Amino acid sequence: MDVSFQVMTGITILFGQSGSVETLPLKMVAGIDIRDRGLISVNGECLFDSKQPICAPIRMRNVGYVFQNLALFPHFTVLQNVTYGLHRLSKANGLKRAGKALEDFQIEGLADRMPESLSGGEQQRVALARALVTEPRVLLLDEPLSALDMRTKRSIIADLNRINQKRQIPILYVTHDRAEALALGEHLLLLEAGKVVAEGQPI
Amino acid sequence: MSSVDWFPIQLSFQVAFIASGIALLMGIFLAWVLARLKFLGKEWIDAAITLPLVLPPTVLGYYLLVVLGQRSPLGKLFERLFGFQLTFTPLAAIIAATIHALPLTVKSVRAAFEEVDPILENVARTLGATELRLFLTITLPLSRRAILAATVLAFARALGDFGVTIMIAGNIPGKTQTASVAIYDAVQAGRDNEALWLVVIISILSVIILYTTNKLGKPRGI
Amino acid sequence: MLAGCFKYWGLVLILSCSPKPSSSLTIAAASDLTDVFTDISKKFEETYKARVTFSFGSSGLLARQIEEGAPFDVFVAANQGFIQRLEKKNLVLPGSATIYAQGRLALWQRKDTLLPVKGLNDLANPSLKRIAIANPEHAPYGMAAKQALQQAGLWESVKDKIVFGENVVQTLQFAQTGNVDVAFVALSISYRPGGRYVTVDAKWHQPINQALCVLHRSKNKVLASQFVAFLNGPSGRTVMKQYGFIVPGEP
Repeated sequence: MDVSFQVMTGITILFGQSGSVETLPLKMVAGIDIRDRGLISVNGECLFDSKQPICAPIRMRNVGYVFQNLALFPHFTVLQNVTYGLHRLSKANGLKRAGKALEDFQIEGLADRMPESLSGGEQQRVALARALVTEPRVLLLDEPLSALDMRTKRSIIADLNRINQKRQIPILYVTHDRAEALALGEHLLLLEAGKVVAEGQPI
Repeated sequence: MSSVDWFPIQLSFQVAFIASGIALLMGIFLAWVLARLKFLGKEWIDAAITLPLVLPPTVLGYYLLVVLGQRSPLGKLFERLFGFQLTFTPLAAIIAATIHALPLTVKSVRAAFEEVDPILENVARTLGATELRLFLTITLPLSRRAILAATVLAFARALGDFGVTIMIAGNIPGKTQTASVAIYDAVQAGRDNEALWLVVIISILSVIILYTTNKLGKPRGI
Repeated sequence: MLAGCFKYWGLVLILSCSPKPSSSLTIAAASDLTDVFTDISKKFEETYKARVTFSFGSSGLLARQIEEGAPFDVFVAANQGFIQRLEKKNLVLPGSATIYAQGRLALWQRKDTLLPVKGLNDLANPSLKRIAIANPEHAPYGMAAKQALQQAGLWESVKDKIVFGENVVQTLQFAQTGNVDVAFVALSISYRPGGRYVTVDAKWHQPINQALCVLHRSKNKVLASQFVAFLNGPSGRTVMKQYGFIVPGEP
């Protein structure tokens, strides 16, 4: 893997043909995958520097991550899932913030439901709400829409665009789907064989 | 029924509760260490913990008798610290029971921890959870079923211990004579009726406890 | 749910070691003495207003436990060897080791046996398939049984029929459950129901000297010595004789 790029606020698509190679940058930013050489810096704050060495543990990096397999906590309700990252706030504040996040994604009604009773689209919205409620400095999305039908995809893409306007944070979005890339991307990074081969705006 | 001495039954259940409780707590801790930490010699530790299951009880009992007895450094230290001798007391019976229950809890719980999806754990970390919070809120609750099963196994094993118990706790009626030892004693003495009563009572109480514990573990709605 | 479990177990008492009241004795005794000593101790308890608790087991295990600090007052072994072992380790109250009786050997069978045995020679009967004796390596009654068979010239012909029990009680159980045709057991336990027995003449084997001692570590030496005296006195001897033991000084 040999990537070097700057990410600005807005949605940056990591687009590639192959399998999981594109996910690596996400994992490295989050701190899930740690390599020997590299430098990761967000908003001027260094999260990883192999030369110093600096390596912030995952929990200190304040990144929002939506995994490909959603990974909602199966033993918690939707509300409990969304408030999980807010344990440092008071209960009242936590509930308020979570309530707003649920509203943002139009899922207030699902607060007391268990993940297994939700549809794919609903689960995805919960995952997004959960990742964003902690006000992360960067949002990482790993093929979040791959298992959904066209209509749900469009609906969530609309939500994402809305969120993007509201919050000014970098969003890294991995996908193999051209349509998604075009619908969302403000910047595009084309990956091939572990290298960035092209950069720019999608046309 | 008046001829039944309730002491061995009482003692056995108390020993089994305490021993399985200790085995559960230690088992959860050791299972976490073995499942989550990386270090050399891990599998040796696992083997050492499992050893009591494999050693014949008389062998294990012999080692413990020598290592914990009055003549040993450990035994002497214990006596100096606590004022009484460790062997031939109910505490020794608890140790005997725990040492057999522990491998059962460690193995079951370790397997359960290793089954918890690492993705879920990473999610928790990205949401700011420390390893402890992750353990208490994610790993442990998701391993609930296995932990319950492990507890039941541990309790059953603790209740039934004989060989090691009789070696290091001795067969002292009214003090350290657990139910399994009492049954053996009654059979040896030709008191078959007493033996039969003890067997029946222990069986009924055990079935009730196991049934209740299993019920507690059933998911809602079943 | 976990909280529920812990509460559920919260009703547990932790046992502690309570000091023994001084008018009680703990006696370690060989398993085959269960019947006779239970009787004797009842009489002792009445006379001396004391409580006697027995820990019956195999002499070997009991001796080992005593070496490792088991809190007994008196040790009643099946033979002298164990007492001597403890004496060497200074665990015995000097002067307290005595032979209190000599054991007798008996041949025990189930009442409904089809091959009743009247004496040692009947053991050579080819229809008799299995004979149980206690392990001669460490059980004195087993040693005596082997001696008797050897003296009677039967050892070679019956040794393939022999099954070892760990102690005389287990040997008896082999016969009680019908797994062997006849068992060599201590006369003192032959009185158990369901069987018939034939005493083996003492001339066929070395005397089975049953010894006991008061332990050095005992906290009730006075009461222990009283028990030993009681055992050797008229009341004790009467019971011993009832169970077929030969008491010192009487043939």
